[in-house]
Amino acid sequence: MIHTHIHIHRYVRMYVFMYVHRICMCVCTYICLCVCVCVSLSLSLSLCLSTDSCRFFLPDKVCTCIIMNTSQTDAIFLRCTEACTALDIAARKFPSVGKSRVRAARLQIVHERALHQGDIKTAHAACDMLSGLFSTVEGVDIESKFDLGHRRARTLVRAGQFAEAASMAHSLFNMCCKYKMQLENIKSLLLLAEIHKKARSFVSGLPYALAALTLSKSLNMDLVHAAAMVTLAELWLGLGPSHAEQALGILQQCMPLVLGHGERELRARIYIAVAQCHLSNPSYSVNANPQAVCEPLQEAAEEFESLEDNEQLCEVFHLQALVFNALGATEERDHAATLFQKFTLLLKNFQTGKP
Amino acid sequence: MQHDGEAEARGRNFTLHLDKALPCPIDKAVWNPEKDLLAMVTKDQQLIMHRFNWQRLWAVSPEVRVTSLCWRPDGKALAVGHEDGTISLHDVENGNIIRQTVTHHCPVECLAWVEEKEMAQTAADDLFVYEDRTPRFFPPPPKSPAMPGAAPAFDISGAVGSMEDPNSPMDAKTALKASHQQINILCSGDRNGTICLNIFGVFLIGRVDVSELDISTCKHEKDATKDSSYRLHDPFILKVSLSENLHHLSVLCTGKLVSSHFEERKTNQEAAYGVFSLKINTALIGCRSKELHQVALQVSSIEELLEVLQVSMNVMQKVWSDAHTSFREKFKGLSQLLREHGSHANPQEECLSLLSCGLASSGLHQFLAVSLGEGGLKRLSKTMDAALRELHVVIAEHLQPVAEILAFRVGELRGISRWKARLRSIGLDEKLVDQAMENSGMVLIQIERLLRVIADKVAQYRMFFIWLTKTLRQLNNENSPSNDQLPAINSEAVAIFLKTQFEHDILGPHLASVTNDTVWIDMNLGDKETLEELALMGGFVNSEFLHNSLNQQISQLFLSCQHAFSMPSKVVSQQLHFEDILFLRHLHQPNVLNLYVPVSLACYEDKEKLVSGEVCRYVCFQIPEKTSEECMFIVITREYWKKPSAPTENTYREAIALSIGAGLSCIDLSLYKEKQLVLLGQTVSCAQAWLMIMPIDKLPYKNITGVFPFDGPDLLNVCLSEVRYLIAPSWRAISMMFLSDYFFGMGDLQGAVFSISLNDGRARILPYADVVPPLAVSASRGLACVFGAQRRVLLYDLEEDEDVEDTEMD
Repeated sequence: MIHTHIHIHRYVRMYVFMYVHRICMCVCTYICLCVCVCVSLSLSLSLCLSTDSCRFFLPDKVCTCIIMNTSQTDAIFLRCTEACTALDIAARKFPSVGKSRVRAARLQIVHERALHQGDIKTAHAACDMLSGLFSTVEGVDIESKFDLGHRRARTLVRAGQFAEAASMAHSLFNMCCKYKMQLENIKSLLLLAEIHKKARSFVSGLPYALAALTLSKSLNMDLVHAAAMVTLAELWLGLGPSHAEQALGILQQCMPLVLGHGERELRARIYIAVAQCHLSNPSYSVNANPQAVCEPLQEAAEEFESLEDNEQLCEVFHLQALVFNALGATEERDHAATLFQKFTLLLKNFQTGKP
Repeated sequence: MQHDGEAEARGRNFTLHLDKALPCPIDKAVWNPEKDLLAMVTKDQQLIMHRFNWQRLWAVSPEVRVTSLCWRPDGKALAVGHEDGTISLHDVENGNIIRQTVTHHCPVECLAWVEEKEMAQTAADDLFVYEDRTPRFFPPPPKSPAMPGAAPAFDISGAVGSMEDPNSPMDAKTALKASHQQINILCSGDRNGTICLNIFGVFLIGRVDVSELDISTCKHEKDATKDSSYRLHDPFILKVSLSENLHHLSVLCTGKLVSSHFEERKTNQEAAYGVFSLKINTALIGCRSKELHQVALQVSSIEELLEVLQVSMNVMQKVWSDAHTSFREKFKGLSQLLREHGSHANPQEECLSLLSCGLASSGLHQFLAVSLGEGGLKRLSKTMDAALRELHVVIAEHLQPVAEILAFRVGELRGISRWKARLRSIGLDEKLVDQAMENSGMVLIQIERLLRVIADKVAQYRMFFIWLTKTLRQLNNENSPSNDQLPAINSEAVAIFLKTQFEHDILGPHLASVTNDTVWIDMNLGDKETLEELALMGGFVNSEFLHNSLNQQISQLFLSCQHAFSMPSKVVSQQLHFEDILFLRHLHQPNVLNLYVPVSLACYEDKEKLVSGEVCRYVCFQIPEKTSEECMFIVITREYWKKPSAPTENTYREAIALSIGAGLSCIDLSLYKEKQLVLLGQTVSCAQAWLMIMPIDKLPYKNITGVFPFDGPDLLNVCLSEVRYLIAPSWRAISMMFLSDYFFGMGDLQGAVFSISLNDGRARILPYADVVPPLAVSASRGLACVFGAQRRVLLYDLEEDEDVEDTEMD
């Protein structure tokens, strides 16, 4: 018995190190300041950082928590397939514990993927199943509740139901304030800004983005701060071409952090935003400096492709085709246009529910 | 005479602060830019530091001859170039060496340390802000552990010694970091014409070989077809300077200008040999200074951390090998005893049989009871325990935190390396940095594994020694109550210990040095499986890395870091292009090694023309040998160019030759502040020495832009051209093709000669007639230091005249 525990312990330590290596060093650096993002996450990190704790073994629940989080972050940073492999390993290694947790993690991945692809129905279904999982007699922890609400709101945004999404985000914000969840607080503010952005009411989105910016700054949450900067830049960009330069400036400030440590989606977003800034800037000419636009667009295309985000891919290839057209590169233009067509069709299929 | 009268009148110029004796003649002297400190190199190769009141701060004797000196702009470190090509940085407080780098292969002839000045910033520049986040997330990195003395454990002297030792490296590091707010670049030029640019004096960013620069004359459109390009052979760098916006590198060097076309070289037997002023375009460094600043900051910290890792590993290796040797030595006696008693069993088998049946053979009994004894056993046990605990401490307090900070810093570097649009041009390669990241992660895991191995070992050795003590007491039939106080032993664990580790050093391979190729650490099956699973999830690609020892892993990390960090200098060096050349003067004797050429070079942004953003460069040099004239010449050129890497059309250039009045000769010169010149001289009869300071911006310069072929006559002849302009026979062939240009330009090329006497500036007659170079002038403090051949030193305040002070005193 002791042996298995030691084994588990070792195993977890290994994961924890992977964690440090892949993720914690970068994404969750703010945890170092003991801003609690998630119980298991901070525990895992405190494990890594404190050297004296290696003598106690971990309860199984924490093990799975860590693995689950690893797989989730995998989904954000790598691809779904890797995340699923991680989950398989987790399920095999710890068959006794937390079957529902593995299931929940799987559902979260499914939801993430469906949301990116534009498959609203599946996303809704995944949300429903998740809520079904959580409403057990064991009680639901508040983080899971927030996560579910956040997912629901994002699904609503994707479906174009902005009013419902906004009210949901507001209630999330209230909940976070009530339970003093700072990170979630900022996340819900960013979500609100995002909803306003999607609803093309950029001016009303600005206060939310700015609030998120100040909050994250005061709490030293670098990556969330960078995400808030990106959202802010997108809002400025939406206000018209005269603000493009300002938006570009904001993006350049957070560029190193986002590219180095940001998740895939954020990276893709910043790339496309940079390209849009250049393109909408009246003083910029494609012929003078094509690299400034072509490179970020290419990067954005790669990132979105691995996320299978059809909607954004359409946008990227549209811009790409326009740029190549202006440059007179007909072959590349036609290629981009074909891809644009392909992804538009795919998106439409998902939206109408065809296979 | 008239001279004397003038001298009396001017006698009170400047304030004499000091007139002291010197222990040894001085070879080089440089003022600290911030404090009143003078760094000097004596002729007998001592590096000494004096205060303003001539109190000596410290003196060090470098092993290799010092060939050049310069201060860091903040005045907290002194860069010293040596004859063997090393550049060492000394701490201003105590003269300790902070860093030593080998960037050159031959004597470093000149050093210049330039800090970027905040220019009138445009909005676009402001946006590229990089932040070093490490101090926010980590405590300051631990320093290297102290190397243990002869006795590794209970070393009180080591603890006392460590009070002093770690202090100085910490100070050194803070001293090194203090100036990292602004980017500053140390430029060094050597005897073979190589110029190196080091950010913060530690991170090599560019290397230019002057002899490999393509010097083209295609400035004139009509010559473009001719495509005459030249090379500078045997360059010898005299002075380097970087403009404050880091866009231009100015070089003064001697060399032989040779056409790079073979046929042309044949027709012109004679090459132009002399002093050249080169301008090298370093716009890339100027444009990417913020990125370079951040990269250099991270790289220099990473290198420091790697050093700590290496030192810690050495310490651990030493601690363990000492302890293990003493363990071995003790038990060697056992096998000897066993042999003497006629037993064929080895110590391991004897011990195992003792464990299993509780009976000791006579040899083992004698060994335990007599040669070891309970006291000896206790001592040995304490030695092992202390050594293992020390290893644990070194890992937990040095190795692990350092490796974590290192991984974080490499991660930050990877972050900026991904911004290809900005960082690719300075050569930070994402893939290489990724590789370094991967290796630093592996090091983290290896360290953790070693920590656990050591923790296991502590327990196992304790168990073994407790068992031995217990057995010994039983053998001695001591049934004292203290025997019961010993903790219970787990005989299975002791058996495992005896079987696996009693004769083999398990920990040794983990700490083995890099050179030991045979190290192959066994991994148990579970670990291997885990690693493969991790690889599936996007873990380390190399799932075999746990077979390596920690030292091997660290050296791998070191290599990958080195590889990644050497890329920027390779890429940037290729982007440093020749921009402009000016033939300053012709030299007759090719051997310049013994020749002291008084020359001064200053490069700064012209404050008056700030609006147009012009950079101004003054080059000032003396013609040492008196040609045919009886008077001596000093030639000053000044150039202006537009700030943002302007095309050459925006450059304009002016020159003037100062002929020093009859009866006077100049010994050394130095440009002072902006637009002033300090001259140190003698009367021809060597009866008197004088020091003069004169403004040079209002002199009647002549424009020589565009009319001046660089391989034609030298600058002095151009300046004298109105008086008599002769094309020397050897130049005729080369100059023919430019001749039309000449006559076209000759119209406005008047002679630019201005004769000066002591009346043209503030001058003072010095009390000693036998002054010698060098003249050390501090622009920021307004001080001049003059050395006399009779081992005297004079210190003058150039800003205050003595009269003024006298009245104040009254």
